[in-house]
Formats: sequence, structure tokens, C-alpha cells
Amino acid sequence: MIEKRTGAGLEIDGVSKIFANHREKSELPVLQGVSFQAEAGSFVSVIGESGCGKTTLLRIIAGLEQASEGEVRLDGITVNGPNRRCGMMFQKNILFPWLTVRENIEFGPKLLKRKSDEHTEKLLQMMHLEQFAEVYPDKLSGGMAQRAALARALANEPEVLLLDEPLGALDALTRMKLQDELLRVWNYHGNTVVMVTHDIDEAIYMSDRIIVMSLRPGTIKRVIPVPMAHPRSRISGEFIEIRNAVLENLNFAKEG
Amino acid sequence: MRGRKITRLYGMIPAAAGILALGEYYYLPNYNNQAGTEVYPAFLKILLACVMLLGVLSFFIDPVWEYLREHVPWYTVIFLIFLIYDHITLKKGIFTLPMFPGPDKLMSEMVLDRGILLDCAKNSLFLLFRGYLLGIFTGLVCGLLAGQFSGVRYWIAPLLKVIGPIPAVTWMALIFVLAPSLAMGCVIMVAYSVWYPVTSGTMNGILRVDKAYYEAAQMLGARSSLQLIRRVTIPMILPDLFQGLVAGMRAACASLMIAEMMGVESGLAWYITWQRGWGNFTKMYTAVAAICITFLIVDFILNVIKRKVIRWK
Repeated sequence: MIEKRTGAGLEIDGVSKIFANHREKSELPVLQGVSFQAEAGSFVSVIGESGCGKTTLLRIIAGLEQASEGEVRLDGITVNGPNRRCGMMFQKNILFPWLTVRENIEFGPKLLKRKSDEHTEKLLQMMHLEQFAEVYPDKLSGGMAQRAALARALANEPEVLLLDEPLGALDALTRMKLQDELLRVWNYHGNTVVMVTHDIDEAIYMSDRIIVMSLRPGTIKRVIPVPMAHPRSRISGEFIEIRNAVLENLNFAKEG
Repeated sequence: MRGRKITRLYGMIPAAAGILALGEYYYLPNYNNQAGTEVYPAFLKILLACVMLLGVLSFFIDPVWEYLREHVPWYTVIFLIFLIYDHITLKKGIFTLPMFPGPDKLMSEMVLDRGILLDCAKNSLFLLFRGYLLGIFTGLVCGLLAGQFSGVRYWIAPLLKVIGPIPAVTWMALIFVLAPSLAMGCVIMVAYSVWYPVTSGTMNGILRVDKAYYEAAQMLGARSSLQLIRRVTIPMILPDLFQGLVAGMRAACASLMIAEMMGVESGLAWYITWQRGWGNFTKMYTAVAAICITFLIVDFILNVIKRKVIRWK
């Protein structure tokens, strides 16, 4: 059964990451002293130019990569490897092409030996995928594939949901539709969400807080709260004000 | 409704061609008063019954019609080829015995010699599959290890590059000297020719797997590398592997035929050499036809398995 649960609190504490380049014997600092907290059940967006290390940051939180310095704590417990309390949705959808949508969703529960048909049905229903359950991923449209990827990420009931530009490859209309669905899921499950995006409107529309990162090495430049109630209006004055603040911090607020 | 009926008459063309071929055999006089048997017409009648059944069913069952519509040209041409073949040999004597037996001669000889042919086919298949399985096994082990561990790949990859493209036949003399028996030599030759495509297919398949799939599996709870191999690597490389298996089967068949002609005292290729020795061309062709049928069946089975295993492609 899918139950309403609260996510775990996330602490990112002084995380730095340096990639060593062996051939040139040089070091490339990607992240430097990144610290922030995401309270249980909050929605945090990370925004910045490409190359600012936001995806690396997300991978460190997921445990897919080791921080060179600092650590990530989940409810006070240090993360040191991929963790079943974290679910992840990747940049390009990487559903397993040899499995149907249903089998993709069941992949995680099967590994943890707690597969239940009822649970799968519920996820299919929630993401409006019932009719596509037995379809292989290469037959799905982009939006459907990302729905399936989200359902798969939710199947293990993670407390933290990490989203790496989850809607980046979709057209504008499908994207806005899926933003609403993501919010619905978040409302229902109460996961803690960290989303990397380069779509400013998406970040404002969805998150409680926007972390703006600067380039090389990636550091936190500014944290911008979004104190608006859901559902948010994309055309309200408040929305545009926050949008201007984000643009300013990204150095894109040039006067006409 | 009427229009539909008329278009579906198209499906009866192969049957018409079949009746034509049958009539040609029965009603035209044979060259030099040669005698014919009932084997070839029986074969035609069976084929004819099949296409007639399909033709009739296609009026009532749409999927049968879909299938038949696509195959009408080939089915018709098969009958016509037999018709022409019979006409230029048995009927007109343009091509004559002993070099060119007609279809009836060929088939009746085949039926007459069925005992020994079946025995040969059985022996050939036995050798083939022993060699094939041995080759697959060693190829899979080498390919999996080389794909997973760069240390193993360091040694195997150059080896593959150097000895892989050399056909098994070139080693034949050496293999037959070193192998404990002729049959063993055959098996080793077949295994060798399967080993290369299976190893390189498996290894390259593994190397091509996107790392992102492993990470997705890890995020979903896969812990051990064994879990990753079983849940991600193997399903992902199955298409490459099957390509290796099919390519391997072709190489294996070629090697087997050559090995049999050189060494072993049974098998279809041995039968060809044996009959050539006696100057019996008819029987030689019979064996060629038997080889063709045998490998068609093997190929068919392999394809059925492939379609079952790789549903997603």
C-alpha cells in the first residue's frame, strides 16, 4: 500500500568535489563547500548554468559519487553509497528497454523482495499508465516514459526523491502537465524532493526554496525562498518578482 | 462483399500453379521413355493441399488472408520452378542423367536412401551440437570475463583480433593431428568457429551497456555485482549474444561440412564425398538437399528461441 509518509530530512554539509585529470596532472574543482538543508517534506530546487556541478551534487546526495570533502546526512545518518531511502529520476529517461512498463516499476520491489501486484497497480493508476502497463519503453512517448520513470522511482517508497532535470527533454505543454503531476505525487507522499533544473519557471512553480549556484567551482550563490501557496499562478506579480530575483542572481537581468 | 471475394481469389493462384505442375508431370510424355515414380507427385500433392487449405481458409479468416497475400508470389514461383525443372530434365531431356536428375529421380532416391541419410543427418547434428555447445560455453565464459574485468580483457582482446578472423579450416591439419579422435577433431573445429563470434558478441555487448543503467539499478536497490550482472548486463546483451549465436551457427555448419569431408566416417558431407567416389550424382544432390533441409530447421529453431527471449526488440 502507498501510505502518506513524511520524507527524511537532508543535510548537505560542506560538500566539495574535485575531479582529477590524470593525463594533464591537473585537478578540476567542481563543487566547493556546498552546504544546505532540506527539511523533511520540503521541495528544494537547484538551479545554475550547465557545468556548475548541480548534477554532481545530486549524484553525491544519491551516493553514486563520493564527495572529496564534507558529507551528506539523511536524518543524521551519513550517506555512503546508493541508498534505498533515495529514489532518483534521471536526466534522460532510462527505463530498462528489455522490460515492460509494469516490469520496470516492479524492478525495485523485486530486488527488495516485496513486490505486490496491488502496489504496482496503484502506481500505474496514479501515473495514468494502466493502458501502457504491458508496453515496452521504446513504444512510449516522452511524457509517458517520464511518468513511468517516476512511477519506478516511487516504487520503493523512497523518503527522498532526487530529480535530475526530470522534464528537460519534454515539450513545454507536456512539461507543465507533468509538473502538476509531480506536485500531486509530492503532496500525496510527502517526500523530501531535491530537483536539479535549468528551467527557472519550473523551479519557482514547484519548489519551496531555490538554490542558485555559481560557476566553477560550483558554490551556492544565493538561496531564494518561494513563499507562495499551491497551486501557484505563473502570471502573478509575486511569481514574476521571484523570477526577476533568480535572473538577477544568474546575471541575466540585463536592462533592455 | 463481392469485391472482397474476388480479391481473395488471388490467394488461389499458388494452387493453380500447383495443379499445372502436377498436370505437366502426369500428362506430358517422358524423354526416352524413362519411368517415373509416385514420389514427386506425392510431394507436389502435399504442397498443393497446403496452399489449397490456406486459399480456402483465407476467404473466412482474415489473418490467414493477410499471411497468404504476402506469400502468394513465392508460393506460386516454387511450383513453377519445379515445373520448369521437371520439364527440362525428365520431359525434354535438355539436361540428362547421370549429371542432372529430375525432381522425381532425386526425391525417389532420397526416399529409397532415407535410412542412411537420416543416420548421416543424425550424426552430423550430433557432432554439430557438441561442438556448438562447447563453443558457446567457452565463448560465453571468455566474453563475460573479458567484458566484466579489464584485466582479462587486456589479454583476450588482442587474442581475439589476431586469431578470431582466421577460419577454422586453416587449423584443420593441426587439429586432426592433435585431437584424440576424428570425431573429437570435428567437435573442436566446430567449437573453435563458434567461440570467436560468441566471445566478441558477448564482450562488445557488455562494453556497450550504458553505465546509467547500472546506476538506475543501484538506485532501485541492486547491491552486489552479481545482481547487476543478472538484472542488467545479461538482459541487455542478449541481442548481441544471439547475433553471435546465429553467426556462430553459420560458421559451425561450414566447418562441420569441411571437417566431415576430410575425416569422419559418417555425416551428410561424408555421404557426399562417398557418393562422389561412386560417381552417383543423384545421391550427391540428395545429400545437398538433406543438408539444406537440416540447417533450415536448425536456423528456424534458433530464430524461434530468439523471438521468445528478446521480445522487446
